[in-house]
Amino acid sequence: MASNPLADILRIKDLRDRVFFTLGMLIIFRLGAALPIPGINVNALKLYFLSQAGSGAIGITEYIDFFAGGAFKNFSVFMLGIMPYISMSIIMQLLLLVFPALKKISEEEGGRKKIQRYIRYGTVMVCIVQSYVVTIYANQIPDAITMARLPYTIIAMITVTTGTVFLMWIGEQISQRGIGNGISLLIFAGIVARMPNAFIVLFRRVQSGELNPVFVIIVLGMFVGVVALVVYEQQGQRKIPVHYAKRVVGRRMYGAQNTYIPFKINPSGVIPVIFASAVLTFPLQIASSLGPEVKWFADFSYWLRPNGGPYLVAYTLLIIFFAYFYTQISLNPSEIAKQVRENGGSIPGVRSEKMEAHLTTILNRIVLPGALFLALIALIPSVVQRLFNFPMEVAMIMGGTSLLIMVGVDLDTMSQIEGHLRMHHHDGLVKKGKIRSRNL
Amino acid sequence: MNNRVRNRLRQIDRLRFAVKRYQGITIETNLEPYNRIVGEILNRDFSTFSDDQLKTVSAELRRKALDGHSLNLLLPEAFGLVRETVCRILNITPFDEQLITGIVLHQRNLAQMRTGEGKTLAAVFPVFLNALAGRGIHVLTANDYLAKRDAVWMGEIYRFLGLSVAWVQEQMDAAEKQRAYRADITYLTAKQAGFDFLSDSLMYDPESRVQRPFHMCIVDEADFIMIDEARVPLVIARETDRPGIDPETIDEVVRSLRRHQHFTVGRNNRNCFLTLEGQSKVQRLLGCGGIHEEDSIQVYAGVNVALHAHYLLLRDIDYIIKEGRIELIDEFTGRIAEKRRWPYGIQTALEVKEGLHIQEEGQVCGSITVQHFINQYPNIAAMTATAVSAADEFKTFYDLNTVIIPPHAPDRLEHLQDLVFTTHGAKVSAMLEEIEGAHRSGRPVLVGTRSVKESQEISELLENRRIPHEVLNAKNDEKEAVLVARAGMLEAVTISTNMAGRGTDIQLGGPNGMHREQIIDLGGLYVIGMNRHESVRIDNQLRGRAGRQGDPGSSRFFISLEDDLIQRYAVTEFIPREYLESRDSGPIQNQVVAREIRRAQRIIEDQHFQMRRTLRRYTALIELQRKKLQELRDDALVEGLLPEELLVRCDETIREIIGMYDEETASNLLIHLFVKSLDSFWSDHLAWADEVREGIHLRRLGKRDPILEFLNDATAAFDAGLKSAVSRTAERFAGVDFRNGGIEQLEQELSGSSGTWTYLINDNPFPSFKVSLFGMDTGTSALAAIQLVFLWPLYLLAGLKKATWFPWNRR
Repeated sequence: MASNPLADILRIKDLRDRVFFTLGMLIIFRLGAALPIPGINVNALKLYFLSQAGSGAIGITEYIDFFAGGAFKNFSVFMLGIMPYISMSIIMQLLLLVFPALKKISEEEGGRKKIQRYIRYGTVMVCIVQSYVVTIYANQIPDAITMARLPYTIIAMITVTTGTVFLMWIGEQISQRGIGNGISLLIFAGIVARMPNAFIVLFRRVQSGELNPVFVIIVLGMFVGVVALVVYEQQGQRKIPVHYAKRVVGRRMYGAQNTYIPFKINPSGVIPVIFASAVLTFPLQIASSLGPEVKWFADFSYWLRPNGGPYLVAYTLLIIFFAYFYTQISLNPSEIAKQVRENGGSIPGVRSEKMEAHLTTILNRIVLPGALFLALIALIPSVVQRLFNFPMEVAMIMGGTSLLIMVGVDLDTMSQIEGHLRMHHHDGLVKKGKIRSRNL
Repeated sequence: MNNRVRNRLRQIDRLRFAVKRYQGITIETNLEPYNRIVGEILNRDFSTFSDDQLKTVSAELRRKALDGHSLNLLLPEAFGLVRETVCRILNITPFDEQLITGIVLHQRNLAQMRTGEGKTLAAVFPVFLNALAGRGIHVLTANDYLAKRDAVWMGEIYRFLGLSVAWVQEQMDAAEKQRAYRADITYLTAKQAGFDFLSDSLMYDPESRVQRPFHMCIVDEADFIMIDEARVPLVIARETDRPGIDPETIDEVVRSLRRHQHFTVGRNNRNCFLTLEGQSKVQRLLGCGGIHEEDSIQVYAGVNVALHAHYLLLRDIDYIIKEGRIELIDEFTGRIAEKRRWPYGIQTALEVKEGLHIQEEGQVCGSITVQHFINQYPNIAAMTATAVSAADEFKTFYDLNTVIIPPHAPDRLEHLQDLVFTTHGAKVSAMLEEIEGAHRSGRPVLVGTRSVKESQEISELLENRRIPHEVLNAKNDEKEAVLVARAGMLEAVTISTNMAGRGTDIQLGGPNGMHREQIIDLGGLYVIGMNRHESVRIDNQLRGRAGRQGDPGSSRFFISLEDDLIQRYAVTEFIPREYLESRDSGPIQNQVVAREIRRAQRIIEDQHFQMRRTLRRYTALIELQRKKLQELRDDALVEGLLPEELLVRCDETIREIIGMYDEETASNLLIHLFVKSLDSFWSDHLAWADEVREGIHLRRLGKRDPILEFLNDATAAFDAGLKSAVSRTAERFAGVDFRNGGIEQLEQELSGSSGTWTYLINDNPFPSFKVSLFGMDTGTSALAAIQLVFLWPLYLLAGLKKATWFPWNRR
């Protein structure tokens, strides 16, 4: 496509409408994320979280806030993000697994819609429970609530539940009428929204002389390189050709080999990183907040504090472990080989009975470098924070989960836009002329 | 109720409609606006006009339409005029319901009208109105016989009003077809229209095309043509080299293979494949390489195709043999599916299996699905008796809203409760009792069976009981008219396949209405269904044979837990164990069973819908490319426009040719060469796309959307293909030895195009497998991951619930 894709997006009406619809919806999301629920003292919240931030822990609240696009810490109407919706989707998936009758319903005509409706109802339930927990949490924060406990609880539960359901609706609308996946884009927008603030913080630190501007420039340059690397890594795949012996055709075309299994360098995406950090921090945090103060436990918690040496080593190992584990369950070589075989397929040059072994070897070779790379990206924030003394807000964006999600969502959305462009655009042979007009 | 309350209610109603529309509900039952228009039509009273005066009014209408007056404004007058003409010529007065149907059709909607309510006549109103402007209107029927019958029957009305009518039949030659397509109104089958469209698209001379640009079509039996048949690709093919394998030898080898040991038949009887042992046996017997070796792939393809022909396609169920040829049976109508064949060598393997003469398959050089073809018409309207359950699909695929027209006379058809039996034997004997009882009382009975085989089985059993009966199936379709005419008579018993479904009009007492009153007293026609079908619409079509135009009638289905439908979709899993084990001969008195069967039908329908939707998403791009190619072709052939790149590359040769001959020769030669290489590229591209689509699901393993991937690959291939078509043309053109008579030789070669023939490809016989992996997008998977840190115990529990070793699961 020779012409400018951006201009193309604006020119094709359907696509333009979708893009603007998506942007509009995201703006509504950001506005709501800044709107606190009634009866909350925002200043008290700020003070509280500021005092907490000193400990440097990436705790559960941090994670919720991260996925809610910063809407949690200011107790906005979207403070729960779309978490409840995803929880309910997972629970529904489990219910489908356990109850065959429910599974049957899901397969009927219109069954998917029905299940979708159950998920929405379930989400409301989850919201009610979670919003109640949140009010209890708010109660712990000194001076946070400006009204009586009971009315506050009721009002907060209603607002947060409504907000979450509204957010869920926004997500669905984006998927349906906009472009890209709604839920992914909401998370994406939440992360992107942190950027301006991060840069302001960075700028102030440079101004006040806390940070060396040369370092900043070097790190920013590195950042560009890392983004490019992540893009490369997300796109990277090994193609394993497959031939299907199912049709007898007179003349066979030997063009490009278009039937293949694409094994991504990193088949598990961001999942191992999130798993690893959650497994390392959550249990400790929960245990320490629930149980009484025990000396050895406190020592252990300190030893395994985030950004500490032992933590980083354990973190890396866990990421590699989860990357292997996840690949194993999501891309099972014997399952793949079985399905290919049952459809009359084969891998050229590989004996039919050796297919499993062949796939396993290839996967093992791919996953290790993929996992190491993933661990490297995941470690960037800690490294930048420790070596260059960068503020956490900035470091978070420069690597790890944020970067992986941003690039991933971006690539997904772009390929959708590209699909739309393709449907509208074939350059092929555009200019035409006549013999007559040329030679006269 | 006072006025204020009534107004309030009306407002609420309106609101409810708005909400419905927003939700995308597309079924309309409120006929109030239509009744108002009917009132306007009835106000135009033409009964005092003379015949000549009517003709003058018609001519006046025509002039207005040509002048560009809005047809909506002309509607009341036109409809009133047609109504009066129908009264005079056919001696019947159209019902108001038919007028409503006419309006619904004119507004480009889908009308659902009960069987026997006169759809054919109802369509005359909008056909007349929309034909006035002379841009042509096609009435698409289900078969050639109906096209001719309706055109002749309704033709008088149109001709009286000064419009020309024609019909197209398969065997007509090009000149006849061209004449028929030039008429104001053309009756024909959708398939025929599609085939002519395809062969027109391959013409070199624009003058020899038979069709004009499309304006509007009205589709009869819409659910059959636009949904059931919609996924069937119409194909035009050309001779090609034979595949380099010998089907006879392969057939012999396949016959020696044993089930389970050498090959396995997959779930739902949808595919079969060689085991490792089978592969080595094939390798030994045929002396070829392993399946992984490039050279032997075609051999294995031949083996797989032969396995398919031997073990998945059954004689007298999927096909019959008639006059030494394989004839496919349409699963929806039970009729012979004319001109339809299985693709990719399956047909040949089947011919070898049955020891028949092998018919040519050829290379596909043009293809379009029925669905895309119908969407070529800028205006589409449709009618059928069974639309409601597919209303959503009509909306998505054709942007048609469904309007339900109430029957003229109140419905007196009685749907009796399904009877469910445990075994096939119990079902059949209960059914025979029921048939015998009804027959003894004198009541006509119609038995609907699923296949030719089943109809023969029941026929034999009735023979044993000495019950006189007739059999109607694909093997004796020539007797159809006679058998249908007799089916409604006193004491008649007719066994039929789905053939006696759609379009069959069974009149009580036969055409002459003998003993009609007596039959009515007995309860009218009794329809017995021997099976539930995969689609509720087909069940309803069968039922609809009874209770014609307010006649009484009843219908009942006999089902057994051993029925194909129930076995194939494992409905038995959900039926309480005690029923499965009981060997009682009586019907099961439990609603659970009937409910589960209905649910199974809904599941199957959803699967079919999903399949059609997926197929549509794949074919949409190919359809766009087809249009693009057609444009290039038309530009070259009609306008004489060629790609600049080609002209530049051929500049030198063009000058030389102009020097020797003239400009005309050079231009024509280049244009024809270019179009020829476009056509050959397109044919390759279609084959390529077919092959890629088959394996595209594998991309999901790399977390990519198969449809987007297909889009990417196909666009790239199309662009590259066009470029190489240009280079091939240029090379060929430069290589012409025009000094030594090369031009004449080339011209001859181009004009002598090899023969083409058209057929339909049966539904894609190979199911593509599902890859149900973690197909989640980035954001969702991230969120899910963080939650799984807490929720994994639930997964563990779910796993335990499934594990067989877990004590809970042992009872």
